[in-house]
Amino acid sequence: MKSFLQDSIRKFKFEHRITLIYFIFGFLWILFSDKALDFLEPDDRLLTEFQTYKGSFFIVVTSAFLYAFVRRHMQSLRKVESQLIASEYKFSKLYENAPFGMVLTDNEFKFKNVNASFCAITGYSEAELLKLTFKDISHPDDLSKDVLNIQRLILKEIAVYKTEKLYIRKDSSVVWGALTVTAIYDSKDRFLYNLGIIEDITFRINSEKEIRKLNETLEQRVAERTTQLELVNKELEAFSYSVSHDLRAPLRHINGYVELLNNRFTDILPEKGKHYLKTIADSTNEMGILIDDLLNFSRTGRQEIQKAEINMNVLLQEALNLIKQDVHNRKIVWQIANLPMVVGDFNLLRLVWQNLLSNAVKFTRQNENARIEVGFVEEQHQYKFFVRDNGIGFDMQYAHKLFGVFQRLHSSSDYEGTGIGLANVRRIIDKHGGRIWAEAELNKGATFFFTLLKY
Amino acid sequence: MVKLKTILLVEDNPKDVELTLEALSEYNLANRVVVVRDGVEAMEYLQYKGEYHNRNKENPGVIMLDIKMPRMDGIEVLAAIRSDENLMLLPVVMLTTSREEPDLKRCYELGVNAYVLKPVNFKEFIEAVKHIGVFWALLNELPTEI
Repeated sequence: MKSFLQDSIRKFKFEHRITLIYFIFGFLWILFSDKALDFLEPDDRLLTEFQTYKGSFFIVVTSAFLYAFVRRHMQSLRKVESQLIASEYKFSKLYENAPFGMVLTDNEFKFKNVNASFCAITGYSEAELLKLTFKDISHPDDLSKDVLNIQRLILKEIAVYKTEKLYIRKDSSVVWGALTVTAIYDSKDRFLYNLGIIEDITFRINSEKEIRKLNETLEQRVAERTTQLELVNKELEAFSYSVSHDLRAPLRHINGYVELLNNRFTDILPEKGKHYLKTIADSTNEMGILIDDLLNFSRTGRQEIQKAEINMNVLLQEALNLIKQDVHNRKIVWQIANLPMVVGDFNLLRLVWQNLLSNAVKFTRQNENARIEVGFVEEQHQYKFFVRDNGIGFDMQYAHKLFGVFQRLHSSSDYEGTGIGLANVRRIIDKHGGRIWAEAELNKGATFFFTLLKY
Repeated sequence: MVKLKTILLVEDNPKDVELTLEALSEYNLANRVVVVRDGVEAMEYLQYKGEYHNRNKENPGVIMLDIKMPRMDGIEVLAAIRSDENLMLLPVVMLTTSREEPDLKRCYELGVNAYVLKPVNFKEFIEAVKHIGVFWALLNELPTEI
């Protein structure tokens, strides 16, 4: 019951509480003090005296109560006040020294308060800004959108308004700001002012513009280069077309007339003459092969690689079948490892094996115990394939010439070939992002290595 | 006796003409060959125009067409033949020096009957020309209206 009373009293505000207590106490005093006095002393003379004491006592007691109440209340008020002052100080320091601009504006967009950072952003002094409105320093392009949204904010249609906009500085230059606005209301829910926080993002915006511009010029340059390359490619194509046509035709004619001479006038031609004609025919054949090789090489260079997942064993077997047909009368020990799957161009990689294997076959010709080994080593990011033979090998000091166009390390009378095969192989491996090299020792054999990335 | 059909050889290079005729003469086909020097002349021959306006009304049994020629090239001739309703069914064999994938594709799109590379080696060349001549001028049967 007592605690209920206390709780009920606490619900009242301080001023109501004091009045209520005074009212109850005074009422009870009036109700009971005179009756108590009557009961104690009915003498009229003494009654007046007692009543004076009684009134004085009432005033003393109520004064004491009042003093105690007010004092306690004032103490708690002062405590709250000092906390408020500390907090206010803290926030005003934060406001003043914030690294971004902070402003308070009223419902007519007039600046009521601005901090140092905002002055720095806009180039105006605090006094100058306080005479201006938000509209005065906004870029006209952004203004209608900003005004509309801030009005919606005041009407509580939105809780916060964020935008990136242009401010016009005192010197008429423009500055990019990231603005965040919230509305502040008092305890009665009446609009007080808008709090705006403005971050200078000119550097960021300019950097973004710069990046965009750089990207555009880069794209443009790439496009230009691509066009140039396409043009060069087209020219190359036209070139190889005319090479293939214009160089072959005269060869065919030489060959044809030599053959006609041989057929029609064989009776009257001396042996020497026949020998000359045979030499002419051999040379034209040789040149025909050279032209074909060169054209194939240039085609490989221009060809786009068609990537697919490839079983190297199948590929190797196809290449081997072609080669074994030519060497069925030779005794060769083949040692072929089980090869991994790779990603690459089927036809081009088959050409690689064909070239490397036919070289191995060719250069082991003098060896009665020819032995050709095909294998691979798995490394962290790639496979290293190799073809090893025990043929005539070569002197390592000429190794750098191995993959050049029309470069040969053996005389063509001993070992036939135009010297384009390995140049082609290198192109193909390059196009696959791999590497090719060889290790050899004269008369002991050679090993050709090439790498392909794992996928 | 089998009636030998005419072979129209469209070739600008006189050496190639001579070598082709040599090859065809081995099978006695040379005397049935009509030689024109480029695509324009070929179309004049086929459409009875210019100096050919008086020739016998008869289409050749086969046309051997070189690709690289002045004025009108072989592919243009092929396109013109295939779009002429009097000529569209004529057998056309491209006889050319170079194997260029785009040419090959274009010719087959236009409905060529064969695409033959002139081999550098003369023996092979003779074989190739002979086969074309014998097959198209001798063995192949054409619908009567052409």
